[in-house]
Amino acid sequence: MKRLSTFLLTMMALGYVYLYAPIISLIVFSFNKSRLVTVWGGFSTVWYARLFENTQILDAAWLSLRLALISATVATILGTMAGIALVRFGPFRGRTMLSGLISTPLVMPEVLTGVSTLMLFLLMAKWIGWPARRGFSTLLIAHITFSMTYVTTVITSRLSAIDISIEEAALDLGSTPWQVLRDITLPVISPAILSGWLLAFTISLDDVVITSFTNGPGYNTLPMLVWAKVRLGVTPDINALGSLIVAVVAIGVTVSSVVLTRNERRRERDIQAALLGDH
Amino acid sequence: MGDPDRQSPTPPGRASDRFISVRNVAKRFGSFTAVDGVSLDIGKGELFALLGSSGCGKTTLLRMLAGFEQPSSGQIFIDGEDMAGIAPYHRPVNMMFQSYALFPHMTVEKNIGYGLKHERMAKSERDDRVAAMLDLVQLRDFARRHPHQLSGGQRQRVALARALAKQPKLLLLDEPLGALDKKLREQTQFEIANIQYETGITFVVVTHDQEEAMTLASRIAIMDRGAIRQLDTPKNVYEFPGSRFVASFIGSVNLFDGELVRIDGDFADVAVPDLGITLRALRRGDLRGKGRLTCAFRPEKVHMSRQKPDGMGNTIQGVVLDFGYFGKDSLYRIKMATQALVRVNATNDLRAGDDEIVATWEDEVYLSIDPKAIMIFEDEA
Repeated sequence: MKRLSTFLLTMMALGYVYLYAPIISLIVFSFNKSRLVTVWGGFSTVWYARLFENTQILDAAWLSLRLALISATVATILGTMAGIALVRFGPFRGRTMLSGLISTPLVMPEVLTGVSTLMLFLLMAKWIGWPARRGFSTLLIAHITFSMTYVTTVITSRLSAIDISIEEAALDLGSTPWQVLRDITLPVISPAILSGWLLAFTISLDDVVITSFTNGPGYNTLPMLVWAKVRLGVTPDINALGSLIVAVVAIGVTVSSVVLTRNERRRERDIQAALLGDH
Repeated sequence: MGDPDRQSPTPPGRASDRFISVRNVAKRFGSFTAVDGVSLDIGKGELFALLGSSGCGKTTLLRMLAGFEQPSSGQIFIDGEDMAGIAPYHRPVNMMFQSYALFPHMTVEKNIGYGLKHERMAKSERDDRVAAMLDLVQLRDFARRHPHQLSGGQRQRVALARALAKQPKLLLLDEPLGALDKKLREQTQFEIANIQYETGITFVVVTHDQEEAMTLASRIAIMDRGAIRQLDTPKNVYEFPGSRFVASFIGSVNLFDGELVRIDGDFADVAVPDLGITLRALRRGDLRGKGRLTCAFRPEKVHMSRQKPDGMGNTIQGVVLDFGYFGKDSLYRIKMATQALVRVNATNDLRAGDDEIVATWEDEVYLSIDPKAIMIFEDEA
C-alpha cells in the first residue's frame, strides 16, 4: 500500500479528533467520581447507578421511546401510502399539491413548523374543544407529521428506482392490484420501509424544537429533559446517559453494517457465478 | 417468385380464422397518436411479429392486447370475446416483458408458480406444472435460485416459463431477445420457435430487430407511425415489399428514381437517369400508364463480373469505389459513370486470393440485374 504523507496523516488525525473527541470525553467523564464535570476525581460507575435511580430521567426516556415507536410506525404507514400514490398513481388531481405539502416540512425551519402546529392545536381547542390540554396525543400528531415527510422521501426514491414492469407482470399473471401490492410492491420496497421507519424513529427520538411547542406539562421527552438540565450545568449523570446512547447506537450500526456487507459480498459472488453460466 | 400479382400484400389464408382480431384500433395520448386505426387478424397457434422502429406504436398495440392500455377507439377480440374494459388480470393473455420483470424476492420456481396461485388448482397439480415448465426451459437445476443468481439467458427462460405457466390463449413477447448477446440470441430464437410449436399457443412478438422477426415469425406486420405498412410472410415482405418504405426498412436496397417508358407484357421498361440505362423490370400487377417511379434492387441480387456478360439485359458498367470484407460476403460500392453509387453484395464462395473473381479498388466491373429482381414502386406522396 502507498504510504501516506505526513501532511495527510496529520489532517486525518485532526479530522478524527474533531469528530470523536467530544464523544470520547463524554464517555470518559461518565466514569468520573467527581461531581465536577471538568475535574477528574478517579474511576467510578456511581453516575450510572444514580441514573437508574432517577425516575425523572427514566420516565422521560420511556415517554420518548413510546412516542418514537408509535409515531415512527404510523408515519411509516402513512408515508408509504403517500409515496405509492405519488409514484404509481400517475397524474391524479391534486398530485402536485400533495407532493408540495409533503416536502414542505423538509425545507421549513423547525421553529415555524412548531409554532404553526401549536397554533393549530390552540385553534382546535377553541373551536372543537379538543385537545383541551396538550400532552401525549398532541406530541404524537406533531411527530407523525414531520417524520412522515422523511419516510415519504425514502419510499418515493426507492419506488421510482424499481422497474414498474414487475408490478405489471404480477397483474398480467392474474393478481388484482391489492394482491400486487401485498405480494410484490411491499416486499420489494421493504428495505426502504425499514430504513424509513428507522429514520422516523431517530428523528422523533431526538427532536427538541417541535416537541417543545407541542408538549404539555408533565410530558417531558428525554431530549427536552437533557436540554433543561444542561441549562443548569452539565451533570455527570447526563454523561452516563449519553454514553449509554452512544453504546446502543454503536452496537446497532456495527451489527447492521456487518450484515449488509456480508449480504452484499454474497450477492456479488452470486452475480459473478451467474455471469459464467452463459458461456 | 413468378406470379407478379403476388406482390399485392394480401395476408395468407391462416388469418381467416380470426382467433385474435384487432378492429380499427387507435390509441391517442393527448395530441399524440401512438396507434392509428390498426386492423389485423391473427390465427390460432400462429407466431406473429410486430416489427417497427422505436415509437412506431408496436409496444402500445402490445400493451392494449395485454390490457395495460385501453384503446381510444376500436375493438380487440380474443377467441371471440370483446376485451373492452377487461382488466389485465382477467385476460387469457400473458406477457414476457422486455426487462423480464422477474420478481427479485422470489425463487425461480416461485416466480413460475406465481400466476398459478390464482387458478383453482390442487397444490400437487401446481407443482407438476411448475416442474413441467422448468423442464421445458431446461432450468430444473435452478429452481431454488433467485433471479440475481442467474445469467441473462437463464433469466430470459424463467420469464418465458412464467408467462407460459398459465397456458394463456395468447402470449405476448416484448423484444424477447433484446437483452441477449449475439451468440445466445441465435440459439434462443430457435428455442422460442420450438416452444411455440410444442405448446401450440399463439405468440405475438414485438421487435425492432428484423432478423429476429424474420426467423421467428410466420407472418410479420411492419408498423410505421402507428399504422401497419405491410402484413405478410417474412419471405414476401423481403422479396415483394409493397412500398418503398418497406423495401428500405427490411434489409438493404439500392433505390433509384426512374420514369416508366413502356409496358411490355409482363415487363415494364423504366428509364433510370442515375444509372444511364433503361431497366427492364417485372411489372407490378397494378402498374398502369406512365409516370415517375422508384426502382429498387437488393445488393445480393446484383451479379458482378469483370468480363462483360453476354446475353443478359440490365447490364451496367462501373468502377469499384471501395468494399468491405465481412468474411462470408463482401459489400462493394460501385461508382457509375454518372457518379451514382450501387451497392453490391458478393458471396465469397471461393477462397480469397483467387484474383479471378474478387474485384478490388479501381477495377472496372459489369453489373447485371435479373428483371425479376427489380422492384418498382409508384412514388409515395
